[in-house]
Amino acid sequence: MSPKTHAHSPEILSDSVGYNLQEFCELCVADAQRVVEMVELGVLEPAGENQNEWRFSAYSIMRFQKAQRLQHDLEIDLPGVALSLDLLESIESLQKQVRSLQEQIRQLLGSK
Amino acid sequence: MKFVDYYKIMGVEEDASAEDIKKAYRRLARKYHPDVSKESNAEAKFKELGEAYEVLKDPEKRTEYDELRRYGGVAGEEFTPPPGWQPHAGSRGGFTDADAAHFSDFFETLFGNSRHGSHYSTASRGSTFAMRGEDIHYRIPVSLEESYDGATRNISLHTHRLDQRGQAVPDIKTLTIKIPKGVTDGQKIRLRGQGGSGIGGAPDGDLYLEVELTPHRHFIAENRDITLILPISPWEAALGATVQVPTLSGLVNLTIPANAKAGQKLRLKGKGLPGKPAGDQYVVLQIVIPEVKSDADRALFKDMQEKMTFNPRTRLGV
Repeated sequence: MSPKTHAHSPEILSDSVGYNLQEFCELCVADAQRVVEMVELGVLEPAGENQNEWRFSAYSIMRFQKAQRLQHDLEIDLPGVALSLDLLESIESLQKQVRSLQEQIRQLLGSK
Repeated sequence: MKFVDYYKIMGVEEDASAEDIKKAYRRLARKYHPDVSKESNAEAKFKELGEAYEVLKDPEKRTEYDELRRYGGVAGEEFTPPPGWQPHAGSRGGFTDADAAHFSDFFETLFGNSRHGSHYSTASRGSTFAMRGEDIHYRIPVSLEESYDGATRNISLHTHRLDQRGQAVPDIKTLTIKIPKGVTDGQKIRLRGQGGSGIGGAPDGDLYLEVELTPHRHFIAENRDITLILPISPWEAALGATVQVPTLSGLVNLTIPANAKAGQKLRLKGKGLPGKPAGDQYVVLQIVIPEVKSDADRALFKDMQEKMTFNPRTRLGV
């Protein structure tokens, strides 16, 4: 056991930060061809018209990693991965809305 | 070590065909995949399943496992392999598709060597062995107040490091983490290089934190917006009023317009969680009818009943 203590400044993975293709590949430990393939099939949606202008958000790192795992573990092809990720994201957002609405209803009816 | 019943885990019979086993694996993998399932034990279940499939899909390993099972293995009970037992399947020294880093002691003893690395990694496995440290994922509960003000938190992470003999041993890492202002539910935070240690000069993995906003007594958060249900009296609703309303930054005065309706939504701009742009606070009006407790109370309502023309059911056409 070697407990280490440091104060760390974290990065929030948001939609705003932009990485170019090379930076994105380094962050994901992935080769460019793989990333290009994912963009072509809609798994990743960088801003920018062509490869040289592509800007990936930090959030898409999570999406890349999820895509890797889903494809490897569930043997889904990339178009299927893209669909799964979109559906998972919309389920997550709906679940948030449902929780928020349920809580509002609870407070309106319980009123305590 | 405890005996692990792979047939039970996969929900198949002992005489299941290779095709049945594959089908069962695919069905359960979809169900328990940690990226898909929201169940809290999904990750453990998924690992267990991967281990079971690793053995049952391989005819040689399966034959060996069946021998051991006949030798007296019962799920969850102490198990010692028969004296002189050696695996024949040749799994030692060779890498299989699945990463065995997280397999059980039972599996390790019977079928393979422990290997270090990320569960999902398919990094290079050459003679000069180098592997990036594992990424660690961790959920971190954060209250709304902590998100609003920012906070500092100590967390202990369970990870692995290599000892002098190159064996992966468990390690505990303590980190002090600044929770940035305005984090929202489900948001991911990355700490570069704070995951598992890399091997052979490869970089360390990253630490990913997923924020889990804990429910608040009054405020309901959705992304950066906050909703507050505000109870008001019938006369405040009818006549309009200025009332004090709690926000994350303290009490503010809110003007309720005359003839306000139940469920009406008022907005306090920028009073949600901080950010670019900051969220808003929505105030949803709830009209609370006072309980009639005395003759005087009853007289007031009677008076309204007699003097006001009001049909609350016009929408229903009755």
